[in-house]
Amino acid sequence: MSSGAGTSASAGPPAGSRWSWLWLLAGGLLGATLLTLLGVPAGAIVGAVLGSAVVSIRGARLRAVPPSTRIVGLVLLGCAAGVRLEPDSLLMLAKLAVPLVGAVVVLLALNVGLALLLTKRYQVDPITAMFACAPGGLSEIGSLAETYGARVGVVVAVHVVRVILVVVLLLPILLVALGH
Amino acid sequence: MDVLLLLGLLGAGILGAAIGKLARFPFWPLSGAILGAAAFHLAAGGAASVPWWWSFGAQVLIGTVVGAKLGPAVLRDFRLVLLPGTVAVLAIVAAGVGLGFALESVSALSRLEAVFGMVPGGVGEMVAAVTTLHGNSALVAGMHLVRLLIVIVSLPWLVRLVRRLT
Repeated sequence: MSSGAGTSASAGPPAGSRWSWLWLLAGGLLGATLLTLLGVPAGAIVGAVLGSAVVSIRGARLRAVPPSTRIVGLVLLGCAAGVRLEPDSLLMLAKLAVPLVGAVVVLLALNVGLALLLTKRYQVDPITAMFACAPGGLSEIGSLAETYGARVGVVVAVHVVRVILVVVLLLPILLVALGH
Repeated sequence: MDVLLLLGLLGAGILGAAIGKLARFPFWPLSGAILGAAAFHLAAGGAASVPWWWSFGAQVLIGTVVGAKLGPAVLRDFRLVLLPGTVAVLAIVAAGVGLGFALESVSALSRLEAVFGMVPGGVGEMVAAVTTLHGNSALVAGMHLVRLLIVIVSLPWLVRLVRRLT
C-alpha cells in the first residue's frame, strides 16, 4: 500500500519510522471524532476516511497501515453485526436469494460490458479492464488480478477511488435522500 | 455493559473469524466474526450488545485503512485511466444504487438496507454506515457476502469470456 509524500510532520514519529503510520490513524480518529461531534450522519466512517486521506496525501513517506488494522476493525464490526443477527434476518436473506442473485448477475453483466468498452474504446488490456470494473472487494479483486496478470496498480486505483467516492460523496447524498 | 460479557463477545468474534479463515469463508474477518458473535449472543440468552465506542473504533480503523490508500501512487495510477476509470466507477456505483431501489420494490427490505446492501462501496464501509444508522447491519453484511461470493466465483469464467470477445 502506498502512502503520501510531501511535507514532513513537525512532531511525533519521524517520517518513514516504524510507527509513522500512527499519523494516519490519528488523522482518521480526528476526522471521525470531528464529524461525529458535528452530528454528520455516518460521520465516523466518512471522517476517518477523510482524515487519513488528508494525512496520506500530505504526509512524507509514512509507513503503510498494518494489514491487521483492517482485520481488527472488521472483527469488531462483525461482533456488532452478530449481536443484531436475528432469525428474522436470516429468513429475510433466504427470501431475498432470487432477487439478490439476479441483481448481482446484472452487476456482472455490466462488468463485462464496461470491460469491453474499456478494451475497445480506451485500449485498456481486457484482463485489467475486467478486474478494474468488477463489483467485488478491493483485497479479493486485487489478489485475483495479480494472479491473472492484470495491471494491479490500475485495478487497485480504480477500486480505491470507487470506495472513496461512495463513502465521501455518495454516502452523504444517500443519507439526505433516505431522510437521515 | 458487563465487561465479562463484552470480553466473551470479543473472544467469540475472534474465534469465529479464526474458524472462518481456516474454512476459507469469503471475507472471513467479518463473516466469521458475525457468526461467532451471533452464536455467543444466542448462548448468552440475547444479553450481548456493544457500546457506542466499539462500533466507533471499528469505523475509525476501517476508514483509516481506506483513506490511507489514497496516496500519490494511487492517484498517479488512476490518472493513467482517468476517463475510462471514472466511467467505470460511476456506472458501477449508479447500477448499485439503482439495483438497491429495485430490490426494495420487490422485497420487504427497507430502503436503507436495500440500497446499502447493493451499493458496491466496500463491505466494511457499507456495514459500518448501516451500523451508525441503526439499520440491520447483519442483513446488509449478508447481502454483500452473497455478492462477493458470486463475483469471486464468476470472475475466472468472465475473464475467459472477455478474452474471447476482444
